[in-house]
Amino acid sequence: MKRFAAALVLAAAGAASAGESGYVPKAAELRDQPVATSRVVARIDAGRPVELLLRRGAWVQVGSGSATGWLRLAEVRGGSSKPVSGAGAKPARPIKRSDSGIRGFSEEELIVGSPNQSEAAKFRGLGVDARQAASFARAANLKSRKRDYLEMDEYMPEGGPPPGFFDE
Amino acid sequence: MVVCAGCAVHTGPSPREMQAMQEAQMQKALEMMNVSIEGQQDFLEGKDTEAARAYRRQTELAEQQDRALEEQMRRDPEYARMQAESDREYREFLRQNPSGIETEFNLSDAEEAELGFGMVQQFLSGQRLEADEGLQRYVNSVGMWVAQQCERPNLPWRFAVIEGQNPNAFAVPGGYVFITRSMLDLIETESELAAVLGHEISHIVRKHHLRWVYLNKEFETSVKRSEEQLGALNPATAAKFRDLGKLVQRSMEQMNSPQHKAQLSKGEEMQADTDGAVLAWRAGYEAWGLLAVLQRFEATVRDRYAAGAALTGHPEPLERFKLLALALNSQPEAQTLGDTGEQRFQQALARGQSR
Repeated sequence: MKRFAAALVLAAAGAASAGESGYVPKAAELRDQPVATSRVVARIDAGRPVELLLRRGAWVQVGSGSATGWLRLAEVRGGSSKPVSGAGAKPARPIKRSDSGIRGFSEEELIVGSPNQSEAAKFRGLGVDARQAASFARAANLKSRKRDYLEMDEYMPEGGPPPGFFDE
Repeated sequence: MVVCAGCAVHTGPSPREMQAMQEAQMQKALEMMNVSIEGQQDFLEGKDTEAARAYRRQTELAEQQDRALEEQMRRDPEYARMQAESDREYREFLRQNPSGIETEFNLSDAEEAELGFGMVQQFLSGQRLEADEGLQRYVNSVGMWVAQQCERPNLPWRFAVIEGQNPNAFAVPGGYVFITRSMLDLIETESELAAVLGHEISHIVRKHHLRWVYLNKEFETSVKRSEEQLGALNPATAAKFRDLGKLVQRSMEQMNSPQHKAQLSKGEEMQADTDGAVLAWRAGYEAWGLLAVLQRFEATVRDRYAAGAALTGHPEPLERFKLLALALNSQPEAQTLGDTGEQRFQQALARGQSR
């Protein structure tokens, strides 16, 4: 078990996103290292596709043409810059608010029928307790750290986002 | 204005003038409340309507008042000190009670869990749990560890993967969280999973579901109270205030409007996003996981959201992505780093698939 945990600690460097495609909505500078002060190796025009290779914290390594380098995560969008339209496109449909009192990561209509007690009992049986969670974290070498939540007035400019902030 | 030299009593408005001023003020208040919500809607949509113009005037007035207040604080250190003290107290209250809901309304944790479990039974009528027990246990370990970092660690937290075609996750009051298999497929690291679960945990910590009930109750009470107060006044005065009663009624209806709910709900989603990132960071993970998930999520639902998103409570994923990026980029980068747990996540997923 100990050896297993040690192997996991070594794995923490970066997360691969290999093969995924993306694009830059605005012109961007490709950097040598995932560091703001590192050398610019190439410039990418707005709307150009990039290939996502590796994510490290706030940075993502991308390939663009023959160049490879790092962009801030916020500079990159997934998928293609061209709007999907025509026969292959999924029809845009309005997504209704569910008034079930259940909050979703994204809103979708929930089909709610008669209560399912056996599935709910199974669900209740799934949990782990606080001690088990702590030993999971120990094995993974995760240490808890203190920090306040981010309040909006800490990061939002006075008067809201600047004009054009949401435009793309 | 009646001015008698040297006579303090008659320096200032006469009683009749005073009454006229009060009436004018009330009229103004009525007008302002009338325009606020539809005016805001029109203003935000860039429409040049009377309501939008009135909204802008009202906003400018409020800004003027803010500036006057700032000026006063600058001139009067004692006032500034009191203001700072009350801000501090409020922050401390929020830190201990992130839902911001006063305790008199709060259900006990046990009551909330019971209410929530009833909702779980309903929810599961249309959903099926994934069969892979190892995966379920893994998601519970990560979720429970993240939940230990929140302000309500002692709720009966339970997490489950459900079969689902859309990438999504759900929070039910009392500590119950669901994530669809399709969302897991969008996730690449444990830090990303931790942040998505953290987003749902935040809804429960902040009692976002219960806020609607709270708001409605609050309004009911205030309407009842204002009716009682009206009853105690003499009929002529009471008649004047009836309009105000009608206005309260109207603002209740506006509060219940889909537009207003959507507005409030948007704020809650963004709060859950930044909270989710912080909760993952508190648990030892890097803080960028949710941003990476939102990036992929945005790409998968771009067409689906192209129309019809304006009326839902959920802001477009791109809007969420940008705001979360704004929030995280405002932090010193060194304080956003941590574990990604990529291998643990990939192994947990692979074990399930090999079976």
